[in-house]
Amino acid sequence: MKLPKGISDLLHETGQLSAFVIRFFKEGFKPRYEWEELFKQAFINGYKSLPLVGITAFIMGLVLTVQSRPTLAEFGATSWLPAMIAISIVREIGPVITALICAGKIGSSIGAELGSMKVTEQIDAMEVSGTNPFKFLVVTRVLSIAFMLPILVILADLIAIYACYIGVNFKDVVSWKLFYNKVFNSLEYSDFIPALVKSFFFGLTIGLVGCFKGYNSQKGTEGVGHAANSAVVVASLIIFILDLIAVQITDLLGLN
Amino acid sequence: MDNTNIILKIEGLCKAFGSNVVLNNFNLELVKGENIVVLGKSGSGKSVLIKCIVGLLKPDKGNIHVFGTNMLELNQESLDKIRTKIGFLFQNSALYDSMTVRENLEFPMRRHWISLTSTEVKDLVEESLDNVGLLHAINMMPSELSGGMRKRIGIARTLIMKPQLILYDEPTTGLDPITSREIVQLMLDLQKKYHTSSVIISHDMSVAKLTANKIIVLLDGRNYAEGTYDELKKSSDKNINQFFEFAS
Repeated sequence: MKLPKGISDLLHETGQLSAFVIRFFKEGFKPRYEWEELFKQAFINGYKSLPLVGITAFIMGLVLTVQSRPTLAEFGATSWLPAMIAISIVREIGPVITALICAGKIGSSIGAELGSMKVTEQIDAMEVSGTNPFKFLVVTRVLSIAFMLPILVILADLIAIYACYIGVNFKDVVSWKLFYNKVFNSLEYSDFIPALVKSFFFGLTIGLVGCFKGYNSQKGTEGVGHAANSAVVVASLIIFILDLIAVQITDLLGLN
Repeated sequence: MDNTNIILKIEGLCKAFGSNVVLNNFNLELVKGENIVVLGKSGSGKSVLIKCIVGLLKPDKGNIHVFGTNMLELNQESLDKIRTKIGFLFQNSALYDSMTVRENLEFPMRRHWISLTSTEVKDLVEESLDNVGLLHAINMMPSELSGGMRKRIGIARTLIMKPQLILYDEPTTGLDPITSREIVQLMLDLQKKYHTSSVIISHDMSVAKLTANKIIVLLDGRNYAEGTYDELKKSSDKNINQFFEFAS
């Protein structure tokens, strides 16, 4: 029986992606280590993403606060606002929104960069010079994002919580000390740790999908555009699937 | 012929992509100091040939011996080692866009000649750029360079590892006739200086005329004809004549 083309293409691509991931884990931890490139990529993917992540987190915290207040006010529970927003942000919204922003910014940029390097034979040039392009280009980018994303999530959480403080003070007068106590008395390690662990895996996903799409890009400049676009779409989809799995795991471990 | 003088020997090379047979029992022998031009129409498999030589593509059948070593039997580490003795000039130069000219040239050295001091690396980069007359472009980005300059920087990057064998993929494609001539002259000057051997892939007869000790016409994936420029020019075969007709 012949499978429909769409399904066989999907299975073929899933197989290729799996082989790419296996290669990453096989080659990623063997010398030679490209430290210089790893730190350069961490700077590009982490530090340079901070303004976008920060602005988004600020708006997210503010909007969430302003929109949640009327519902809580109906029950006379506005004093719960800081704790509720903080838990939502730390557990779910912070990691997922930051990962989606990074999938858009970093995933597309890696897809396009490696895609254009592929079609202009720069990856081949690296290989014939006796350098392993997979280690130099893929391993460094994937690891940099995987380690920088949790840091970006922590910063995004803090910015969003501060925006929540501003949002709370639009209608009420709450001191920073009281707000701080409300927020941090409600948060536990079981809120932070699973969120940071899943952020690491979101980062791995963004890096691996972006690199896979770029590294296997074909059909000239059209292929570069396609690589950038599909890197974002596929990474975003996998992030949601991983999030769903993470929720199930934390539930099973009794961390919810 | 003394075997120690043979730099590259290809025997019975076959390569197909699906049903499209690109190379079909291709043979080549390159001796020290010699230039072989592989002539063929676009899509005839010339680039596939040199990609097989350097291990970017795996042939379906045949043997490729470089400096007496069978390239197809090497593990990755040994392949990387032997690749440092082979220079490869890509059609579009393939300079790393995100690096300056200096970083482009330093890139292979920093990986293979780890013991070099910064001063030695700097001296080698400057010597290599001086060879191609572009020392002033050392801090420029590839996007700031013209086509001819990119090609020269590509040659400088190829030569920096002091290769014994250089593979040129269409070295003059996309260049005006004057710049093409300059690039060919540069190739010859550098060959004289560094005593390299070359396989030059081209469809440009002026390149073949100026550089080739021997020309191989690649047609239907095999050695259709071989000889010097003058020998092939005298041929009455229409498949060979067409290269000379269009050139004139």
